[in-house]
Amino acid sequence: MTHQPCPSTQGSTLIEVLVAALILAIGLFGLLSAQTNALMSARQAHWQQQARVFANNYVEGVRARGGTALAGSLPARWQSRLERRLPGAEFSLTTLPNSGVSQQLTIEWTAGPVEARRTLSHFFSP
Amino acid sequence: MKSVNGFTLIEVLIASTLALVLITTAAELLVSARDWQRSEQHHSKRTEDIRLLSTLLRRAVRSAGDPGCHWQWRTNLTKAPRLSAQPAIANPLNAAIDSESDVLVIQRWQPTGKAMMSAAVSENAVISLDRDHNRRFGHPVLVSADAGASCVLFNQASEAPKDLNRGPGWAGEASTTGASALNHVPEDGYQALAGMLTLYEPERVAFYIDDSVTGSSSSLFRRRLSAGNRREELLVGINVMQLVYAVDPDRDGNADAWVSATNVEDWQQVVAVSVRVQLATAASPEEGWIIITQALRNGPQHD
Repeated sequence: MTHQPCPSTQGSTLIEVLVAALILAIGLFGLLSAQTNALMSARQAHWQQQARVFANNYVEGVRARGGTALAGSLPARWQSRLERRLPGAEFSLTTLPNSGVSQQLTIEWTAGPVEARRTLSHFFSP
Repeated sequence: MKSVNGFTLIEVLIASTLALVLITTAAELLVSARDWQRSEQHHSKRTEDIRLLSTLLRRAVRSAGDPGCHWQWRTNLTKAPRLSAQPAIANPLNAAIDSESDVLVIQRWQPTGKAMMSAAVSENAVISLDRDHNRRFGHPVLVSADAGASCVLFNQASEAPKDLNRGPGWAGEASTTGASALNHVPEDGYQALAGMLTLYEPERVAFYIDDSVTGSSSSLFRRRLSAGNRREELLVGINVMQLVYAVDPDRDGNADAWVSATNVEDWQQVVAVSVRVQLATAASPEEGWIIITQALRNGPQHD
């Protein structure tokens, strides 16, 4: 008499265990990248806000000086403050060609580990 | 009988090594996820704090010194107390607020509502409205006509709930001597007001730092004259507030110096304010400093 075991009592093979482990690993990796993305976007929003506050402060400072721009460059004090707050920050000020009065202030910084540059443009007339 | 063999030793070893690696990774991930979440919450909270702070302070300073109606059209009838133009930014030392940090005080005329006149045109002292104005006797009132350039500032000289009175004052004994007249009578007659009116009241807002009602830290507080000077806790987790004022003594529209409150000689000369606050939510005290600079939008105040 031969006993035919029911298939459900068979153990899993090594290849099955490996496939299961691979699927689990992919799942964990997905979770990891979702977390990283969430963190980066929170940080990004924070930097964006910092840049916005900075741009507004600059414009209001210019207004307090009766619209005299700070010669297109930042005083050293502002520059160092900007760099402390935003990684790899750069600042530029251009007069819009068609108006002669309106100016564009651009703040650019490095967005985290992916090395992408982010910019904030702020248009104003002193 | 292959199917009942189970695992070989080598299979069990490989599987358990894999399981161990996976479980360790998952555990580490769990721990770091918690840290990340904390860090993310911290960033969001800070971003939100900065946004709120910036909105509140910028809006307040921008509105500071709002005259209600243009100086050119304003007739000031007030006599006792005589209302002279208040500076947009007031001296915080007079604000009677006890705070270890600096105090920001702004002043402006604030619109409190619209009213229609009962008569088509009012050229006498009494301005009858179609609704209650909630102005008590002796309190300052600024009324401007929405159409046309008429605007008048006076002390309310009537107890009637729907009547504003820009006349000399209470018809009591003291008024016969003229000493306690609330308003003076204009030589060329009262300014004609017509149609829809906007009523204003003097507003004074103070921002300061005090101990939070939560007990754990200090907060940004506000007191508004229009809200009965009650204290309103706006933002928890602000340690320090420092203020510097841009002053323009030669009135050429170009700020000449940034000075602290004790060095402001004339508050009418202030053209911009820079608020420096330290947020308690920051990872380091150095990182916590936020600067908000705002220029005033309303020019020097006239009498």
